[in-house]
Amino acid sequence: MSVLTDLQHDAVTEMLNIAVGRAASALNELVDEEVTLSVPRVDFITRTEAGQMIDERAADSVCAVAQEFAGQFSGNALLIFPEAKSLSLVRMMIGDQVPLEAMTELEQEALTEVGNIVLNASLGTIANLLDMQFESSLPMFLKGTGLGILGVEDGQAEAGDLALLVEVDFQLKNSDISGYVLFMLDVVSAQKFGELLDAYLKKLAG
Amino acid sequence: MSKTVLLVDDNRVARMMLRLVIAELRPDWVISEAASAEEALDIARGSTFDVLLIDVGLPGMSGLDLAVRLRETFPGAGIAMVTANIQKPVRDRAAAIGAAFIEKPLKPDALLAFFASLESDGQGGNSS
Repeated sequence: MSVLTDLQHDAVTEMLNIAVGRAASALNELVDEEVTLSVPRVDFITRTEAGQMIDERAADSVCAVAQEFAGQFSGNALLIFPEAKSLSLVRMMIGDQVPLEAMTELEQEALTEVGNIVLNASLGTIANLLDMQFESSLPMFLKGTGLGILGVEDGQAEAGDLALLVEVDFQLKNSDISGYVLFMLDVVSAQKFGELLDAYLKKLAG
Repeated sequence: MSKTVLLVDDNRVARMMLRLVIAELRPDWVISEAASAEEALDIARGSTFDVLLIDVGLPGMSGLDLAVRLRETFPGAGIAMVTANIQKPVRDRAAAIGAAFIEKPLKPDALLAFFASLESDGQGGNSS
């Protein structure tokens, strides 16, 4: 797939490395636990393939927080938790003074706030580095299959269209919570992202 | 001196986390909460606030627009945007309104520095 040049591909990887690194540092502050990250995987795949990939990695339905962003290029950012081990996450955020039944009730709002912080840290870092601005939707909590979460099942998204997929896996060291961040851009947005990265690289080179 | 604080955030967990930190730093302050800009404006009609802590991303009216409105209602209040949206234009708009910018996740030290700045300028008194 030649939508991005090799140099642009490397630039996307590095930029997302920085962006998700910033998000990991935010997550680390939130839960006071070390967060380890994978190297970003950058690929062009269809939305159907992306949905299948999400489902293959989950035992059951997944929880996700999704945010749409729009600016000089647009797309979706998702934080996906393949397993619902989030109660310990809630406890790390609001402490022990809340009874267990209240904590279950707060789980969804806690995950949404984690998504808000992680996705905004990533998108904000990209916007600041490229000297541009994204408008983003409020974070939305979703639960379901990969295809459902990506809007493929209900026809909201074009199932066969190629999209740039960037994936970074994260793991909280002690509490066995893991998940991943996905960014999906359609081809036109991916090309625009590539052009902005070219300009950025040129500036870096002086 | 005890102050009155209004927290505006659509996420209940975010409000709980903020409330915990404030209660620890300033146990005698009186805290009210709103889940949207519209609710905040309603509450503001019947009360006076010294300190306003406002999320940027709210359903309906944005936190920045709310801050502009509340600045008119409470000219002497200390306002801080408390947000995960770390983009430079958002910081610039906060500065233009005269609001502090506090990043999420909240660091207690950042909030403490904001409170200390209010207490040292004598801002945030019941002057409105």
